[in-house]
Amino acid sequence: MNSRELILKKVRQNKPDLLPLPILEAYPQGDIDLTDKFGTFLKNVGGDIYLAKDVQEARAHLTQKFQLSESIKVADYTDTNLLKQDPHSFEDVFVTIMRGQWGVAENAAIWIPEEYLPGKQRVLPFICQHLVIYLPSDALVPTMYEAYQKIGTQNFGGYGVFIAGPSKTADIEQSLVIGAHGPRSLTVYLIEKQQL
Amino acid sequence: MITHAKEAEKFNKDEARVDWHDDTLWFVRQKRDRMAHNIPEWEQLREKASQIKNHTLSNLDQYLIQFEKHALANGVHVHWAANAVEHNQIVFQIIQKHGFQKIVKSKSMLTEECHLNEFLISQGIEVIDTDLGERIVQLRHEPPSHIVLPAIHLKKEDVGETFHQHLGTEKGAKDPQYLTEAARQHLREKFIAADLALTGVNFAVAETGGIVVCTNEGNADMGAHLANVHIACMGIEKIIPRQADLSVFLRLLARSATGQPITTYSSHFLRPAPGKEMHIVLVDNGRTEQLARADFRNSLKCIRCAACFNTCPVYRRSGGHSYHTAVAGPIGSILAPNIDMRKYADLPFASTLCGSCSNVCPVKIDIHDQLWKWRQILAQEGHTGTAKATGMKLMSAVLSNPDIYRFAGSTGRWFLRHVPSLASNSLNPWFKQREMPEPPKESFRDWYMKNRKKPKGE
Repeated sequence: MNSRELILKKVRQNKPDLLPLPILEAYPQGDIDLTDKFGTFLKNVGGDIYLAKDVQEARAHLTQKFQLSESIKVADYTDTNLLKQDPHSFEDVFVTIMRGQWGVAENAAIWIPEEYLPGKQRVLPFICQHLVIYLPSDALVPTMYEAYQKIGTQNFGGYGVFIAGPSKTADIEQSLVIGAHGPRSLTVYLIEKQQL
Repeated sequence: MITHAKEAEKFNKDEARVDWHDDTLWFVRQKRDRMAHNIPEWEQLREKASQIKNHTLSNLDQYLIQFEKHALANGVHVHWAANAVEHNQIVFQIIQKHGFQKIVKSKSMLTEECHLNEFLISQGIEVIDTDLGERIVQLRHEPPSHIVLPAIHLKKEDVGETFHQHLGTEKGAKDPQYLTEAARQHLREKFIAADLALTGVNFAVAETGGIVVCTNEGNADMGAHLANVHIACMGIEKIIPRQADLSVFLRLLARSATGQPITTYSSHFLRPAPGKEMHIVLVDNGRTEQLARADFRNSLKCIRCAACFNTCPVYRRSGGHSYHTAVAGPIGSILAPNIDMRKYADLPFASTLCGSCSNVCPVKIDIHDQLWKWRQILAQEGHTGTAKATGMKLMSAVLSNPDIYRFAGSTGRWFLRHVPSLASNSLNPWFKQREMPEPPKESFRDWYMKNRKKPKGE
């Protein structure tokens, strides 16, 4: 008997009688301002948040914030040339700019499906020094429950990720250090007009 | 034979460090409390998580088959390992097939349990742990002392010295920011050069065949997205039925673990990226035996948050290494005897049975009850040693006879007052690292007889 059959046989023999699978439910969060709560949590987890009326305004703001110039490497979701590149070539990307699909007010996590990754390159939100996410202001949900209802099980591609803040660690004496392996900062622009 | 008490004695030699360890973990526990208290539905979430896990265990074979079917359809290779040796062989064969040399790993307690690193290194493979805490202990040739905070037993001076030796940081440097930056640069080179990335699994979704990995550092993703091959290793108990169940578990996990609202990254791996390869190894290694033990099976609900470590008065004052097992703390003390009863017979006794572990557990495992139940089994099976067995017999004789009990109490108090060295000496294990309490002048019974209100007519 191979290990697969052996394990399944032992599980069948040893498992208890069938117990019911509970129904998942939403828990009412009261009268909360989603933008306010999301922004508070994002700051708590080390992120920056700005309101922008459109993508152009956000882009102008971040160009100044990161003092972007021709010599600084930026990976932008509008750049179709990223698709075919070797992920190792992104080692020197300074800023990655991408869209987020849903934002969760209770923890500032932003859902990124594969198609939202610049060039569908999974490593880009991690390997860059700074990460920028454009999030439609009407894409906020109260809790993870509503987020998973929106995400569904289909259509997020081969990979999807919740990102809440910049990369961090507290492994040395519990001292919080921002910028462990991934981005040293996360900047979120809540874009007013639904134009993403 | 290694025992918790002997190992804890070593840890207890440095009293200042014990106090620091105790305070630091208690601080994490308090952060957890603040997070939990801010979620009005916290107790409902715990109950829900517990029910989902109970259901899953009662239907585990079906969910494993369902998970495998979907993972295969997603283009993922699925392997089954009955034990640690087979797990290590499967991983090694994948590495060998490609002729790989360099592996980066993100945190996986399962591979610690299977001693994968030692095995691969003995085969000439470079294995680099990339979680900062794990890298620190790896450089020091130590095991992690905590499943979420692997280097919590170390001070920044220790890390500074380790990095000075291995990474060339300045002698005496101890600033966490500076040391983390040095590790970042060092590990970036390793990520870029790695052939293969190995990760653990926090949750595996039967409905989709996908796995979810949670990190704060982003190391699992850096490794998996750069290397050509990704192997994810998981115990069979990591299965959950539906993707939406993640909403319950991700709300509980980081809040319980570190007092964060969620980990920075919750990565959902469904299919390998074009041109890449992904493997999942499903490991039993004693879990099906634990499933058969009605009193202990619900320890398989554990989501490895370590809340029970942080709250445990024994863990906080004895350190993770004293448990001499990959998963320390209260949950480790009920998991380990299942794998080797003789070797880990000491662990269920490394507890005060105060029950704090069960109270903070996000999936409602009755940890302290199981510790107590293990003690009985271990005593029946003769794994408790003669001193403990004789002591227990004597204790039971005294406690079952009121006259002997009163006599023993008053003689005991007399000796403690007049000949305190009888208790305060190195032969008494209760005296180690403790001061003996002042003996009371009279028993509660004597006090009560004297002071109670006499009923009328008496």
